[in-house]
Amino acid sequence: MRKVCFINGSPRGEGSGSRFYIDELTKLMDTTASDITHFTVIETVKRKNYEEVFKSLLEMNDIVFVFPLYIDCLPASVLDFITKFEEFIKENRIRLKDGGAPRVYGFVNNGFIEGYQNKYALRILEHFCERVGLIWRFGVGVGGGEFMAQTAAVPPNSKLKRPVHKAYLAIVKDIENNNNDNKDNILTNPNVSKNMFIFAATINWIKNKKVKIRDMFKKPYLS
Amino acid sequence: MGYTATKVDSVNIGGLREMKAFVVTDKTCSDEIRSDLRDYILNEITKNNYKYELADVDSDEISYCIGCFGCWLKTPGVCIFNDVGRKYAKSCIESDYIILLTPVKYGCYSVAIKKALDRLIPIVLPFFKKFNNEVHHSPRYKKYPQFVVVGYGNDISSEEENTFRKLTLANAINFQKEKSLTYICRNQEDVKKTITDCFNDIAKEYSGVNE
Repeated sequence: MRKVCFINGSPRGEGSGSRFYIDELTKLMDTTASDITHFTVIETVKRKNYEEVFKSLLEMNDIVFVFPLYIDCLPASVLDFITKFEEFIKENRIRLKDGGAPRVYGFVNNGFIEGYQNKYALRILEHFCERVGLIWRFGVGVGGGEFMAQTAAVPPNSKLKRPVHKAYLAIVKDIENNNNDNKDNILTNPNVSKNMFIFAATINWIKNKKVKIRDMFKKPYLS
Repeated sequence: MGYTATKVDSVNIGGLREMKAFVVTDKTCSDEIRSDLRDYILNEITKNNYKYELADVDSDEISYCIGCFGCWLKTPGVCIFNDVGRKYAKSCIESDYIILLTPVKYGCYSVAIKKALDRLIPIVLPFFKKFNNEVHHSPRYKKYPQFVVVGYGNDISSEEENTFRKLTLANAINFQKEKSLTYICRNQEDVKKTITDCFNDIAKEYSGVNE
């Protein structure tokens, strides 16, 4: 049985879009062939049980980091997590052998429609893997992150969501087949035009505001 | 506290608008190269009679951004966490230049600097616009500081440098600028040249703004 771990790197934890994506990926996995574990970065921060989590991760066959894009890259909490992971590996002089090191995937979603805006976050994860000796497989960058999570009722294999569904399948198949061939990152988004996306997002922000519309434009820091 | 609001009054020379910099460094990094770069940056600022504010970020004194959207939907423009992160957003938007001094880690900023950056998101609106046919956040304010980044480390690979430069450009665009001024310093011998080049470019930019 393959040991697979999903790491939820969203600072929002369980109620997050990242949790939605982890659930979508998990639904597609053959749970008779994979033993699936979940960790949440923000819970690790609260419990301060980094060492216990890192030891578990090093026993995995596959690790999938799932998180939202923050300022074009990793949220600071995820960056902190991987930095501490490297320190743990170095301090304990753990040598990760090529054949036995865990394989790592990244799954990043952003609020803009273009999935390619996630590419630097995936590169940063790849650089981390190279530094510590983990095996980087590939990553998926999904645009329209909130849009995807809020249209959960629309089937994942619908025309609207099919490109993202294919990306889920790419990760799941790579894990289950234990593939070793080189793969490029998959940068994709739901099938919706930019203008329609911007319009839908505007309506969504207005719908969820807790203040008057004009107050959303306040400039508190300039007199 | 990891925040020092140190203001130096400038001299108004020849009618030029007074230039103000917000300098952000990683206090948790004890490398000598950081200390030298910081000293050279502050020397250049005082030599040029620029105004400035300085934040030596202590990672333990600033909360993570938790992505709650409070700064967009509940208290527009202001983070719900009342800590130094609020001061960083204020200092940033009140400045002509934000100068980030950061170790380069995996082609990214250090944790302390990334924490500070994440907490700047209140200075943009939740609404989207198109720039270069890409979706980005709309501006909350009329003016944003030029993005200047000095990255350092003695073991930065060329791929990590490439990622870092592209990341800082993407960040500058999301903070409403068309470019980032990004410099990499790999050893102490290069500190003076790095900062001299940086401030020569800032001076060229600034004189362009004032023409």
